[in-house]
Amino acid sequence: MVPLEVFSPVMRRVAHITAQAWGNDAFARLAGHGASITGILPQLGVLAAYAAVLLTLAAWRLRRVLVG
Amino acid sequence: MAKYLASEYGKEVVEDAFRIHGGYREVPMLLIGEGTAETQKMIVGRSLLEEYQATGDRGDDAVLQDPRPVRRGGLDRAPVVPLPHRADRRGRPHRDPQARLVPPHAGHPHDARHADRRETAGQVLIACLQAAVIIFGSALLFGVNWGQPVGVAAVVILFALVGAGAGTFLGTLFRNEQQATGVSLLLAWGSARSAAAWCHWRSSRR
Repeated sequence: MVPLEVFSPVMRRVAHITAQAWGNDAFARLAGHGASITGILPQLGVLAAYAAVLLTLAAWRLRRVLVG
Repeated sequence: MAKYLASEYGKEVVEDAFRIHGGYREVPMLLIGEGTAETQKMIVGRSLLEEYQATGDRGDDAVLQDPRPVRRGGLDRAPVVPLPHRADRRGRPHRDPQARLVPPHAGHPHDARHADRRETAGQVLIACLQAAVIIFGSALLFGVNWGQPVGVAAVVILFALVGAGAGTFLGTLFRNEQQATGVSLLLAWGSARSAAAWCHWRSSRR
């Protein structure tokens, strides 16, 4: 794991494909800048979207695999 | 000599104790970690069913009472008749639980409907517990300030859901743990190498 802060701006944008980057941002704001839950709403929104998409895919695949 | 003997025995005793207590600690986790017990039951149930002759219109009990378990000696397998193919209007397989062969206690459709939720709940629970250990542990031991507790809890829970979704989805794509580990290592290595190569190329152009 490498801190996002050391990345170049382009690589930082590329890294934000991953959910980890958004979680990292949220923690950085909470711990580093003393943000409250309203200050990290964009990050929470993106994480929620990731969770919704991945859980839907997972439920669909798991049922297919288990029930056949 | 006495010191050596005592050390050896001491080591053995402590190792045994670790094994026993370590095992005791791990075992309850096995029920929900790496596939809940329900999921395992369904997988076992499905693999057992592949051994049964399948007929469509008999009830589940009739099929299960069919005294033809197969694979005697490994070679003479009873002929396996494929499940009757029923399709809906769009040609997709018909998903009527009554038409499926299911043993009463393993791989029941009732399990199938809830297995994904239990799987997810188990994974989320483990992820949240692990995060709690890290967060509370580091706060108590090293005085780490993680920020507003409500915000931290929100991030942890959402991220646990993301992880559970990603893990369950990827888990369904592979046949066993080795495959999944191999592919994930290959992906991680490949992306790290390409990122390094890209950075090298960028810096050489400047």
